[in-house]
Amino acid sequence: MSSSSSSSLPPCPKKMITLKSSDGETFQIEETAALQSKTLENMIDENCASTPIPLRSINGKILAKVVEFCNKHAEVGVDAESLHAWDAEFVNVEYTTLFDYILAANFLEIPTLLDLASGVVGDMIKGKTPDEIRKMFNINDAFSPEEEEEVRRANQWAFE
Amino acid sequence: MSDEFDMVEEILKRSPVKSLLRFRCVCKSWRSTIDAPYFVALHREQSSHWHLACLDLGGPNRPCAERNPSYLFSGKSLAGPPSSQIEIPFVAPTKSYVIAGSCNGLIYIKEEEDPGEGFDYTMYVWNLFTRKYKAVPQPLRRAVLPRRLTFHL
Repeated sequence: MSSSSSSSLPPCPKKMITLKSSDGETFQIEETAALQSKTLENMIDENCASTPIPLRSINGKILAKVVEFCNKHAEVGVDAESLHAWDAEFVNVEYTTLFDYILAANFLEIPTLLDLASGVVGDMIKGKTPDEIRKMFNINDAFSPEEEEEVRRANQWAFE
Repeated sequence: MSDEFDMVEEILKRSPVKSLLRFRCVCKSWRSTIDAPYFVALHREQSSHWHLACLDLGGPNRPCAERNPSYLFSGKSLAGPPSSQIEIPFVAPTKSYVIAGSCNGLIYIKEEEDPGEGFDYTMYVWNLFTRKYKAVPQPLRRAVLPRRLTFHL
């Protein structure tokens, strides 16, 4: 993107930082967009963002989406309604991907993404049976059928 | 950044109380999370919705059976239908009730004996969202009695 000839540089060149995923892919992101992440903001403030930043817990597929999310949310002049529609499309993915978004949003401290992805998973499980939820979350410490019935009876109205 | 990040907690703290009461039977660890006092505080902190309860507690000259249904409105606008109809769990036909106060979705209700039976009364703390209630000792001072309530939960 940048030119080696200084005369053709725009008056205010955009500052870019480089992120490196767990599987070695690199991504360029504008500093202004990266500021959505408190983790990256701290690194920028401490001048630790001049070399590629390794993100060992986020793979390339997820990091690409996270960068896309940060770019969209850093855009100026986007009205709330269209951003809302864009967000809805962004989280229209498999729950396993949403889990990855939540983990990445937590690691990078991006509250908007954490809120969005966690909220969608919450909506997703609202109507599911305990069995379906156990499968989704890979849960092994289920109650015995009798215990489960007892827990259920304590708040029977919530099941009606 | 914390190593102890709990994704399940992150999801549950954004879920409505009714869902949480169902989720208690998913597994032991979900139940302990949902029942933990720190989680209850976290959940209340997280909640950005307002709730409005419209309760008809009857009156001394009005039999219990003639009470209007009570409703809970939640969310962004009063234009929508109520989010749920609530039954008051402890009403007895011969007694009358007044609201003595409210805080964080808990309602404090005074149950008065039949007029003419003296000053005996019982106080209840009632959680509108879990639908649980408890009789508590009488307060020492008279409480101010509001008629309508809004609160966050």
